[in-house]
Amino acid sequence: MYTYTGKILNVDLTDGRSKISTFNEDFAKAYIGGTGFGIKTLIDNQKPGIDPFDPENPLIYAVGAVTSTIVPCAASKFGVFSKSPESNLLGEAYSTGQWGAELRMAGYDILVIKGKASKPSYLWIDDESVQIMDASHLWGTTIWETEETIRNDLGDQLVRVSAIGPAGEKLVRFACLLNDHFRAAGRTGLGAVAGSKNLKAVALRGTHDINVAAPEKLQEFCKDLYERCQGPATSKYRVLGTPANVLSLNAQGAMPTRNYQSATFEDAEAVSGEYLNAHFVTKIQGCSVCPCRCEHVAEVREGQFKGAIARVEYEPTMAFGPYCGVNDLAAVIKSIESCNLYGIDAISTGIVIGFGMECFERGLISKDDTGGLELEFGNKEAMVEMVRKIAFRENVGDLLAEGVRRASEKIGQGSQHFAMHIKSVEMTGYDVRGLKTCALGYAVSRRGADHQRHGSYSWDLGGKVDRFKADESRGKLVMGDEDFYCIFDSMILCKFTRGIWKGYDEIAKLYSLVTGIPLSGVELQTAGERMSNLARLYNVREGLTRKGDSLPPRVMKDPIPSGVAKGSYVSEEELNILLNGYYKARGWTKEGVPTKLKVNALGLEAYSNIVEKEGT
Amino acid sequence: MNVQVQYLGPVRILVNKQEEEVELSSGTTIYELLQKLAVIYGQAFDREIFEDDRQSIREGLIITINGIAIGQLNDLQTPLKSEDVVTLLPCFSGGG
Repeated sequence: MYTYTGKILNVDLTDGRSKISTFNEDFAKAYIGGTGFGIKTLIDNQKPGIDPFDPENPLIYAVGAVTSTIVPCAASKFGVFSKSPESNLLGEAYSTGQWGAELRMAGYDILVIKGKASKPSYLWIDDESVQIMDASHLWGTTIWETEETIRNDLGDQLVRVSAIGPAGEKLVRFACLLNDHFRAAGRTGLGAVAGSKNLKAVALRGTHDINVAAPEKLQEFCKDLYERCQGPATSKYRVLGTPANVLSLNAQGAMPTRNYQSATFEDAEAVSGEYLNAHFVTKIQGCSVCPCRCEHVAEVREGQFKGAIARVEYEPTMAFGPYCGVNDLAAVIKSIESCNLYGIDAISTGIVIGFGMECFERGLISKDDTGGLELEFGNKEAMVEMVRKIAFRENVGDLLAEGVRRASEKIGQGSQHFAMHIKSVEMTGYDVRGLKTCALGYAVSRRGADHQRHGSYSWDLGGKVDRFKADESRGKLVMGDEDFYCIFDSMILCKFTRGIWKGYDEIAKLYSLVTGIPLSGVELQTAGERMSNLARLYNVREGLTRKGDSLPPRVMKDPIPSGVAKGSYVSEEELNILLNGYYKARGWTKEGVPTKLKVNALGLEAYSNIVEKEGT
Repeated sequence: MNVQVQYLGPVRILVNKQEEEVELSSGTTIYELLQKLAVIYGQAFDREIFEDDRQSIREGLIITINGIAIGQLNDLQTPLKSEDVVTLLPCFSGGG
């Protein structure tokens, strides 16, 4: 095989041992990389039903098929997988920057970490050398301090570090892993899994060459790709970045505002991408081998949050802006910075604080609980301080650190109605009450509330369907989106380039140029379907039923109160129509379980016991 | 009749304004409005709005009338009414 190293590094933190296992071309072709590698490795290496904080829950890193090559917008991406401490189902998150390329150059396509170190430790992988290092001096430090200290300790400023912050150490359920300063494997709490293992960081240095199958043809292919990456399909990312979504979503009445109390924010201009670029962005940078450069780095140059610096994307802007009723980008940037330093997912943190704000305004929690903070919508100082309290589990931050689902169960008093989560993972930045195809994508998303596994908002917002109506045909649309994104997340290609690709055939051609493995567009599409089904089998094994494919109560009972989408919500009847259509499209039972026929057709016979248990 | 045109994202930077009122004759379609704006703002605007054949909107751009994407109406042939709000906005995606 070319490009693939074919090696899996298995590390046991309990006894300190590591060993190499290998995979062959059949495995590579069936699962491609990234998503496919991660889910397959997880389902095969994790005992069913264990607690996410059990030392035997594996933490898995997997690079994509084209990671470490010259393919633009793809060179350094990787995925992280485990059983999620939020959902108790599939945990997965993706990151980029420089770290992923380094793992492959160190000689490994997959890294599996099990066990628990006896004291705070970090893993140091230097090509074939694998050591478990003492991290006692790093425990309690921020992620940026950790990266700097490890580089100084090792005497090498080119070491790449994926680390957790204090939040991961304290098992905040939505703690994340961060690398290269601004890049997070953010969602589903994988930082807490690392923390439960006393694992502070994974540091890498790799010096091996990566050889592609057809270097000259690949170069020609990439030259064309490079030019397309700089064309109109990606201009939004290069010019304003994803915060351009703020005004766009607001204009269409799809901006989650004040914990979903509304779908439009009256001060959207003040937290818009346009305003951000005019007043705060100091540089625009990119990942390794990226011609787009989408990272808009913003700095606060004056005022109470002076000095705060963060890469600003749409989702955290939504989460700390309209979602919390805050109209000050300086406070948004400060909050994102804090999330980066302490290692918590910015999306979940904002949604959790918004929930906390509604609880406070309803009198369900008090200043005694908040440590004296007036945790009201719009109070930016309280929001910024609450980020820190959550990370360090102080006052009500300790409860909020459990996520909205668990927090609302503890608080009770009707708060579950406005706890905005799906499968215990906090909602993201689309008010799906007026986006019914997107609502289906969220309801069935394998890692909980998520827009990234499907991108089905495009049908609704682009006017390709009637976004206010639900019908069974949306199932096929969401299925197509999911399977295509599985391939994107296995190759791993940046989703910001999805507008430039000509379809499965072209991506399959790229795959063959890089790896030397013949693969058709149809085979690639089947691989995507295989991954979606394997993820479902994993979730079913871990306890997911049709009931879990749902939407938050507020989405299903509280209509959008004003604006262009006024009156819209997703009724239970509509959700059932959408789910029925999706399960039919997938070839699953009415309970959402893959049939034996489907399992066999995709070469997943080894997992028949899961569907047999469900009686299908 | 008058319609309000709002500009978001890269288009706003191109035309250097957030919004404006445009006077049109009754029954003007959205396509005719865009053509009129292209004459005002020139080739760069034209390239930002239209595909090369000038028969469809560029991939990556969405146009709404009163918050509803034109694809959900009568696409480029949708007739405008007095006081309609037309918004030109970038296509949505990710960001975290």
